[in-house]
Order: sequence, then structure tokens, then C-alpha cells
Amino acid sequence: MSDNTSTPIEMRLSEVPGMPSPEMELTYVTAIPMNGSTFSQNQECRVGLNVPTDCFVDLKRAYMKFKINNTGAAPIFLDPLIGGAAVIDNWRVIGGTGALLEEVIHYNTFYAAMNANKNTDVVSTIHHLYEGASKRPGKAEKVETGTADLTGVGLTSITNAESRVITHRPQSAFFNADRYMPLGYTQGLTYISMTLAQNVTAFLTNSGTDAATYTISEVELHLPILKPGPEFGSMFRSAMSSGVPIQIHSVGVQNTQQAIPASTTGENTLTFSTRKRSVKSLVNALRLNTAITSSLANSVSGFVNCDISEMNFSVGGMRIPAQRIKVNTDANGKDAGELLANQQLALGHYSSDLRGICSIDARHNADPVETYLITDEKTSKEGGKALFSLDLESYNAAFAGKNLAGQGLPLVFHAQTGSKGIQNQATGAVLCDLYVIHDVVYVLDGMTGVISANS
Amino acid sequence: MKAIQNYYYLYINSDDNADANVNCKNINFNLSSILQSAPNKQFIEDQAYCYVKLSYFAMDLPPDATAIGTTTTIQVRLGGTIFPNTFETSPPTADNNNLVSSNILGVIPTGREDATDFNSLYLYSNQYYDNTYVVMGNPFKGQLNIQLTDQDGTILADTLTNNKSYNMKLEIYFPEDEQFIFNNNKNLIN
Repeated sequence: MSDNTSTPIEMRLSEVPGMPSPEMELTYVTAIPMNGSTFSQNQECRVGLNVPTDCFVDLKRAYMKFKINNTGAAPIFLDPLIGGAAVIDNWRVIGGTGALLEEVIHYNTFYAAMNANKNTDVVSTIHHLYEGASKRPGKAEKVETGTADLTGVGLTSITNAESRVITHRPQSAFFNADRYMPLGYTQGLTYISMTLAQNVTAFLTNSGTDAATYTISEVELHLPILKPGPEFGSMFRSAMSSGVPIQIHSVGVQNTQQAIPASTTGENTLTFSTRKRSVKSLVNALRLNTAITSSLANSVSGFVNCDISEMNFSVGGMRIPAQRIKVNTDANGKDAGELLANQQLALGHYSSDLRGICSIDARHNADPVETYLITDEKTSKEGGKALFSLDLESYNAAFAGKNLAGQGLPLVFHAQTGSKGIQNQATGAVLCDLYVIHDVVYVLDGMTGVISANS
Repeated sequence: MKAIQNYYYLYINSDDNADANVNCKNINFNLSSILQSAPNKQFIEDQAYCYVKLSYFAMDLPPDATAIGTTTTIQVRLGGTIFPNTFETSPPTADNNNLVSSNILGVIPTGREDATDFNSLYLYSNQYYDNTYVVMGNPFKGQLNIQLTDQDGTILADTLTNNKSYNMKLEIYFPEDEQFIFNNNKNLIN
């Protein structure tokens, strides 16, 4: 009679651990830009992924380095949540035959949305040392007119004519795929194309010293290269040429934008475009338009809430959730938890107690300040950390998202804005960056060596 | 024959910029609201690249030395997008190659002949619009930054742009080219 027992791992004493096969030799390659070495605002920086023939690249372990040079007349201060990564306005990965493999418009804001959902300690230590994020990242920064004194508030400063080196791990689908990328088997040279943010967007400066200009130089991309033995290389090549499709899954993000006009109170209906086949979640980041183009304001990570009191989305014509998500910034009746719960669900952080959010400032003080939802932002003119998000996955698995490809009206954001929101003033138009998090499959056609993205 | 619905025409008035900026040298527009207007939006919203032609440009600059000075050319440069096939020269230095990638959408001669003589008829050199199509990233994906620079790529002085306006018309064409994978939104394999 068989019973239903098994030996726990701790007692499997006779098992010999297997050796991974095929054998791989790990080396590192440093890729540098192909189109110059010093780049300024609005310019494109292209970095080719120089992977040797027949090699794989472990992009999850890759990182980028570049030096930010303050070429203006005054000190500049790096973004509180993402530091020098704020210079990356758009992020694209382009295949060797010209196919667009990934495109994240307003990459810096997406990265800021991700960092806002990390523990304050992670941002103020690791990201401070990597990218130059603030040592007090939970502090709310102004999204209008600016602050006279930025020196003493923990922001990383670069004095004029001085520099700082930024280390950055790309928040990118192509760099976070679940397999080693067979770029040594593809046609042409796959490259990264970064368009750099405007001078006024990339940094903060003190009130009255709106003179930020910058360049980046010494751009490097460190790539771990895995070289298989010749037998595996030829076997993989013959498998490819026999028509076996090589497919690599990852999770990408697509940006679409809309605007809440200035001086609006009441119901807002914003139609967004997306045609992705498996949409996992939606993350909507609201920023004051004039803040984006002012170096006196927190341009990239100053998220505003427009005093929204309730919101939901129409996805393919259906309201989700049917009962709207309620928000209240006032002290009397404060309601921030439901919004945060949906934000954590959308980012897959909900079931983890280890995930904090970067929204507490001055913890050492007797009364620490909470900066997730800013009360009366029209008066205080401060940006918070709240995002308007929605989870759409049926399972926590690949391709378990919503198919928006065939929907007539894919996505509408419905929100009830209030009178205390920052939009309720003459120059208060608010840009909504909706990041659609979706599944993507990179397909390498074995016959031609062409890599393309399907999503 | 090219399908007529693949052409779009965009008239830009600098006064309408998103930040209500009165200085038109460096302004932003949010063009993502195309979604509500274009009949075949489903086709264009996923396109990575398109062809764009600066087919008209007018700016209220008097044709004299006071206004135009030594500016011989106005370049229209775009930020927040890419021009995969556009290049320009730059002085070869330790920092840069002689040839670098460029973000020039179009160029407009100011009509300056010498220090005192200016073509008084047009800001354009002639009535035939001589900018051709350039390949650029899809401008209908969001914020587009437009900067005006002089012939050396230096942003125009405030004297030329503050409280001034310009109007331009863009012709935008989305091609269907099987040789080039424009659409990254094909069916998922399997």
C-alpha cells in the first residue's frame, strides 16, 4: 500500500546536486555610445549592445553608468526619488533590423512611480548611492514656484561645473526578461536609445536661480556575457534554423497621456489609447504641466492628486471597479487606504509585508509628516506619492491580463476632482501619464535572426 | 496608391502651447488627444515611426537687422522623440564625432542677404515649401517639445521669440512597409 509521504528537503541527504548544463563562461562587456560621447537636453544617446557572436547576455544583471555634468551657472539638485535617472525622458530598445522592441515614454516618471512604492530606507540608501536620490525622499517637494533653500533638505546637489556619476539598473522589459537574451545569434546590432529630458525637467534649482543646464558623458552599459561551449552554440543555431521559435516572456510598460484642464472641478473623463493583448495593470501618475517644464519645481516625481474624491476606469466599456474607489485627503474623514490598496494590487505588492512606501518624512521628529496624499495641494503646492492604479489580472501569471486589442473604447479614466486640487487654478493643467503594464513576448525568428516584440 | 487615411495634417499655433508660454523659443504640446479625433486611431496609435514634413512655417518677424540680426536660418528641433535617419555635423572634438544624430524637423531661411538687405516677402526663401519628409518617432504619443534654434543650433534669442508667435503645418504619413517592422503590436504567438 502506498502512503502519501515524502522526504523533506532537509533529510534528502543522499542526493547529489546536479551540475547546470550547458556550461557557460561568464565575462563582462562594457558598451559605450555609438553616436558621440557627450549629450545634452533633447538629444538621443544610442548605446549598442555589443554581444559577441554565439553568446547570450544576462540583462537582469546589467547596469548603466553615466556622469552628469552641471554646465549651468548655479547648483542643481537631483530628483528626490530617482536622482540622476530623471535625465532619461524616453527609453527605447531597437532591434538590429530597426524593429522597436520597447518604448517607454516618460521613463523617468515611471521609474519614480516604482521608487515611490519602495521603502523610504531603500530609496534613501541604495538609490541615494546609485542614482543620487534624496536622503530624505519622503519629503514633499513643491510643484510650483519652488523652495528658496534646497541645500538642507537631503537632495543630492551638484555644484556648477562639477559632476556626479550615476549608476542605474534599467526598469525595462527587455532588461528584466525571464531568460538570457540570445543577442549573439541575432541579425544586426540591438541598441538602446535614450532621449534626454529638457534642462528644466531633469533637475530642481533654488528659487530665483532657474539656470539649470547639463550634459551627460562617460555613458557605459555593463553587460554580463555568457559564452556557451561550441557544441551548444552549434546545436542552438541548428535548432533555430530548423524553425524552432525562440520566445522570451517579459513584462513591459506602455505610456499614454491625457490632460486634466486647468480650473476644473467635477467629473473628468479621460480617454486613453492602448491596444495591448494582456494588460496586467494600470498606473496613472498625475503631474502639474507647468511643473514639468520648470526647474524651480519637482518635475518628475511630484505626483498630485487633484483633490480626487472618487475614481474608476472603463475598460472595454465596463466600469472597473463598479463601485468607485473613494479618496479623501481631509483630516476629518481621511481615506487614503483604498487608493493605496489598489496601488499595491496593481504593482503586485499587496501580499507582501516587506513592501513599504516612500511617504514618511522627518521620522526622527516628534511628529513625522505623511506625504502620500497632500491635503489642500492648491495652497501648499506640494507633490505627494499617490498614484491612481488598478489591477486587471485574473491570475498572478503571464498572459492573465485583460485583452484590450479588440475593444472599441479601450480605456477611460473617470475621476471626480475637487476644489482643493492643484488643477483648480489658472495655470493648473495636469498631465496624466497612464502606464499600462502588459505582457510582452520577444520572438527570435531562427531563419532570419530577426528579433521582434509582440504584446 | 497610398491609402488616403494614412495622411494626417497638423496645424500648430505656438500660442496654444500646453504651458501657455508667451516666449515661443521652447514650448510643449500634448498631442496625445489625437485618440478622440482620428477615425482609424487604432492603426496609428501603435506605430513607432512615421514620416513628417514641415510643409508651412510663418513667424511674425520683421525682415530687418533689428529683428533678425545675423540669424540666417531657423531650425525647428523636436525633443521627446527620435529621428532615426536624421544626422547633422558637429565640430569633431574629444567629446563628439564629426557626424552626430540630429533632432531637426525642418529648416527655414530667414531671408537675410547681408547686414542691411533682407528678403521682405517671405520668411521662407521662396513660396515653394522646400522641407521634405523626415522619419521620426510617432508624435501622437504624448508631450512634444518644439525648440527654435539658429543656424548653429543655439536656441534663438528672446528678442526673436518673446511675445512672438509662429504657425506651422505638418504633414504626417504613416506608411505600411512590409520590409520594416513598424507595428510592434502583432498577434501573440501561440
